[in-house]
Amino acid sequence: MENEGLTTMRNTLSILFVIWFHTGMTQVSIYAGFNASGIQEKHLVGETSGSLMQQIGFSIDISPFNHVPHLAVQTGGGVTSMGYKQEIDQTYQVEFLFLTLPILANYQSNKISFQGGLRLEGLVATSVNDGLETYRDSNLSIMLGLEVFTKSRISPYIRASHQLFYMLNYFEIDARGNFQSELRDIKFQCLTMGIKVRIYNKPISL
Amino acid sequence: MKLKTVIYLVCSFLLSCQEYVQDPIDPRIPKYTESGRDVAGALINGNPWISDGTGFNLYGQEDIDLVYYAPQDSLIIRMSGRFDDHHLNVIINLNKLLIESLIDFRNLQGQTITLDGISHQGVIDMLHFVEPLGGGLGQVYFRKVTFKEHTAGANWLVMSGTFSFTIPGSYDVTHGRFDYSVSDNDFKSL
Repeated sequence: MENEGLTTMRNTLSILFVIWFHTGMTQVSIYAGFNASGIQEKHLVGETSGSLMQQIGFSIDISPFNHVPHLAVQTGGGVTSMGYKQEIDQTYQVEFLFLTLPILANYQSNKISFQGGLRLEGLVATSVNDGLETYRDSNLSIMLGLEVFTKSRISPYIRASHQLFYMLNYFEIDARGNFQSELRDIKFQCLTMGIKVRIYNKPISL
Repeated sequence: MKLKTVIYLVCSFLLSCQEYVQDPIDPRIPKYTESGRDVAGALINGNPWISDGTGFNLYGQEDIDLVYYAPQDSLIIRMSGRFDDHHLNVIINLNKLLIESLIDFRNLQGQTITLDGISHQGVIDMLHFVEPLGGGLGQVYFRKVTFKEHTAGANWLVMSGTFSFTIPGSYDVTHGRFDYSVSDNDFKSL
């Protein structure tokens, strides 16, 4: 069965590609940063804590309206890892690797820009056996961001994201082996900091 | 550079995998599944016991033994595993259920059987010439038993469920789960 998250991403990219060819201005950047992922959970055994992971990718800023140059749609593609640690008799670390596709509104104000929107996330690998069967294969995060020194070629960015759907859909089984109810758990909250490098900033010639 | 980073990330994910599919709530024990993965696990006195398929019996090395003793109408379900770096078998002993062949396991589908310590009991077998400890009180739940007839004529079934029992004064077995694919060859009638 095809990964639903990846299909959604492919469709979204197709739409954005069409928009891109009918607009006047675009900016392409690459970025890399660190991702401090926290976990929101209710059922996991032991003490849980977040992990410091990585993020890389590229972004495309499209200005669809020539008369509103401060406003752009920011999208792109990336690889983001998230994870958590579980302290029981030892430390168990679970890591998730997502392909991500943000769709953000980008507001440019002098040397600072603000972003807000959604990020589609398709799970492509985990650090545990059969993680792709255990965990949800796609998710959606609400996202807010800030970039500074946006007039220069290199600019730092910071982003906060919060997953809207639970990653785990499982059984609640008590210690005696009785099945209680369906269990939904685990959402990631991330704070990402990194560097963005602009590699293309020109009008599109149709 | 980017490609190398991605390859490194993917490889590091793959290399850090464990042998069994860990439970997403408590990673010390296997995830509850119903697909015949030949795995069982539990917490014994709070410490993990994981099946390892290295149990030995009269017939060789087995993940699970199903032995039916006709004179007593007694069924032994023996799951081999490791506990604290030692071999330890978890045994469920059921009596008077008329499970005389593999096909009779269909009758257990959805059944929760109370282990009263007498007619039905949980047993811990530490091997190494130590007498098994029986009389375990608790329950075993056969949540899903799917029987299939193999094309070659042999029967097999997928048997999944949970168990827990307490042997007073010694072992408290909790969070037990099993998921085995069993064929006619795994069933012995004596």
